[in-house]
Amino acid sequence: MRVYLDHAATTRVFDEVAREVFKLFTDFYGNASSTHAHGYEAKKIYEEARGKIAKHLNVDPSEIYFTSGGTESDNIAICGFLKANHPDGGHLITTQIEHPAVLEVMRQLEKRGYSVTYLKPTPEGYVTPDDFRKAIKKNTVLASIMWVNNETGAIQPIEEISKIAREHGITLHSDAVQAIGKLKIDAKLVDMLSASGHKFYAPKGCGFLYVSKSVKIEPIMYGGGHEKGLRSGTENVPGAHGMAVALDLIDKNYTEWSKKLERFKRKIVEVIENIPDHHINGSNTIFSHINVSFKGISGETLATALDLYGISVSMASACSSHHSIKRSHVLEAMSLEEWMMDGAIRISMGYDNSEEEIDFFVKVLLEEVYRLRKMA
Amino acid sequence: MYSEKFKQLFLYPKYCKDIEYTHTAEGFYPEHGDRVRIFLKIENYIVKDAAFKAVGCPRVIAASEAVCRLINGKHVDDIKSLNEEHVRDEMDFHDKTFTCINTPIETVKKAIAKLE
Repeated sequence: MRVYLDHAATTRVFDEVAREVFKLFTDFYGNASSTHAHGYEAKKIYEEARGKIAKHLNVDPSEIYFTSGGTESDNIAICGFLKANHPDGGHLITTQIEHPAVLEVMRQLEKRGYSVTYLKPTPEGYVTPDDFRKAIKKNTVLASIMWVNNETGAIQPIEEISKIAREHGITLHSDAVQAIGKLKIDAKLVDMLSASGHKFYAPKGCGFLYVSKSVKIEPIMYGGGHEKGLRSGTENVPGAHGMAVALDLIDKNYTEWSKKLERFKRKIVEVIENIPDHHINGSNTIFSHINVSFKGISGETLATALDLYGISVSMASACSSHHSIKRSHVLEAMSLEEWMMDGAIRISMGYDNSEEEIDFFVKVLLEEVYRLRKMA
Repeated sequence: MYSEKFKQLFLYPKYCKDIEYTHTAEGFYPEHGDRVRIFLKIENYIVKDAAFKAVGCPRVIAASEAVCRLINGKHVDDIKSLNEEHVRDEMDFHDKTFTCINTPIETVKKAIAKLE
């Protein structure tokens, strides 16, 4: 049996999404910017997709911009906002646990003269509204705080941070790549929000950025002026449609699917709780994620053992060749003990997992943890 | 992706067991946190039985098993020439950048050094 438990890395495209997207490759393949029937029909599908995604987020369709994914959305949001409003510098707030798509942008901005505060999370994996408030300076112009951490699944206190940011007139961006399709979120809590299609059962290479009408933003790359000039490049109609169909399916099945994953998570956690010397990394975590370490076993070793049984999970740290261990910056920021960082595996479930798969996984997990510990 | 040989060594080691040993040694690869213990039952310079215990990455565990398979029944003089290449072949693992697989080789040599 092959069991895929790495949905935080990417998801299998829903069958219905794949069928719909296929039609766009073969039947409705016009360039959405072309002024002929092929173009118009593609444009219609594209704009309908925008409308559906906007509805899912409870925002206006004019506030949704299609991009190539999370990284591009994050770059446009942060750099485009600063370019339009604060080109000469300012203070930014983010967290130490962001995805590199935000962290690396911040590091580049520091080189260009911006100052950045990187909020440290608690050992439970989330930043606190208090720390956010304390980090605010007179010249703080933008904050970028992820909605859900990709490694631990810890949900960040966006609602409270949003209130504080609004009190201080700070524009708030959120990388919501791990939240969209899993959490019912109110996008209006933030001013800009990034999402990636392949994290919610749509194809790779598509994503979107929500930018509130109240936010002034400029493009960071130039071309044909697509997406109202913010993101040039031929419209990815199959990607946009795929995302809309996927979110529609999730909306229709959310109650059933979310309950299923909550049940699976409880089942896995119950098994883990019976294994001595373990640590679940992160709390207040989303129903899809479990990040756990077992003392005396490296995460890479356990993930490899599971892989050899056909089960795909991901590891937080791994021996790189030569002499180093590449550790997770997220678990390091949480100041966990060494064995917790080196032993961590991430189990990320998806709506397409079955009870049978979860039962097989917990059986192998239990056997392998005991077997590997006996080898020590 | 690991080979079928690697899988057999890592998932189903025959030599991760308790034996009545005459010689033992412990080796470390501190950069990765690996620890290997080798146990040998040596009679008239012949390895009559071998065993290991290992904590560490999958490669170190598989290499420990591979080393035990390679040395069991051998004369200690033959073990002196055991090298990384022999173990890589036994593992069917050829990424030379991972030098951690030397840990069990060095540990075995440390154990037999006590014979001299």
